[in-house]
Amino acid sequence: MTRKRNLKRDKVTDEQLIARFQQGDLQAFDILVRRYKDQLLNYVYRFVGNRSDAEDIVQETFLRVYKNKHYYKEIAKFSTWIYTIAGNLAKTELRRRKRRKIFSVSNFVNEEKDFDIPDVERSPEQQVDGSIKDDIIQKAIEKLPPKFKEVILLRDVQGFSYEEISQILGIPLGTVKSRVNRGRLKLQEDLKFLLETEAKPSEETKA
Amino acid sequence: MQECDRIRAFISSYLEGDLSHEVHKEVEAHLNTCNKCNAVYLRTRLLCVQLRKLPQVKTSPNFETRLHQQISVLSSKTPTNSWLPLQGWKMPLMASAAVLGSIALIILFSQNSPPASKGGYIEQSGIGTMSKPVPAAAAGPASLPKTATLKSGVSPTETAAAVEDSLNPEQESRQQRLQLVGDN
Repeated sequence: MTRKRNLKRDKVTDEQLIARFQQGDLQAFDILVRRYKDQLLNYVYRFVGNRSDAEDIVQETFLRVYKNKHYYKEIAKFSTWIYTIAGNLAKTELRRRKRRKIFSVSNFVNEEKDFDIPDVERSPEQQVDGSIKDDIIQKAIEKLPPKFKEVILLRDVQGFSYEEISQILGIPLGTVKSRVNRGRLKLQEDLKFLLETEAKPSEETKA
Repeated sequence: MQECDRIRAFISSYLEGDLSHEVHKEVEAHLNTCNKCNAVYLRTRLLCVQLRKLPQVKTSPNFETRLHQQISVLSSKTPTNSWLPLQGWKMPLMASAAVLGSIALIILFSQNSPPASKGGYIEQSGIGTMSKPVPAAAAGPASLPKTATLKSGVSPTETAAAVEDSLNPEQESRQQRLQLVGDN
């Protein structure tokens, strides 16, 4: 949604900007940074689950774009190219963490208060309020295997089309659709309690 | 249950209206009769809404400043522009040429270098007994194995002995030359 809004506001396309940057226009690079920094952060943050790591990965993504600008060819959209770079870096980060076995509860509670562990003393109704609900969803996303997580984030959080996801991940369209469906089925199962609680008020309203 | 699994594989496509008319009707009919699959469908639909409503995080205010600093560091680490033309396929080519050139030079020097260099080697060995390099002709082929011993340089004693030995051919040849001069 943010992506589409940005495209409407800025008349110059991403592809025109990267072309200008390839010819040495550094201002064009800065515009691309401003255009993509937040949406990339959202994608990577949902992927790795840590704000600080996510910001480092987005920095690295832009550095790679800066260093390898001449590798971009206008056969693909700039957005798919930069999301491919960011996604690969996020996956590398997850593999690195797995190797070093640094997954711990402390990862979920950093100083920026990215997540809150739900208070078991609260009633179920209180738990689904506000940011707690978002945190529960975020945790469920994090638990997804990476191949499901990436398609769910790109489709349902970032709003890419199936074709664009296929290009970003370099996998067939049918595989994307299948993974999106399986990822959603897995998530709705894991979030059964939350979603049923969420559905109840609307049903009551209807009644 | 197998029918439920088959129908659930279509749930996302059903949600997004991405099914053929026949399959759409088939899924709809199943959802109307199967409470479990209908509950899965409703939860999936709600899940999609919730995912789109997730709050957006924003980069920190100094994000761009930090990025520009990293780019400056990157630019300062990058080799000078004179190396840029060597990027890509040119770099390995130039490296290969340099290696081949070095090998050619080594072969050339090893063929043309006079055994006098052995004298130089001995001087470098720290023995310091040879103040004047031994002429190639004077050293003679007989000194080669001894030089090899020197190069392997086992102990200073052996080296010193080799130096002494290497002097003998010179002395001999001088004597021979003197004799020849005398004969003349």
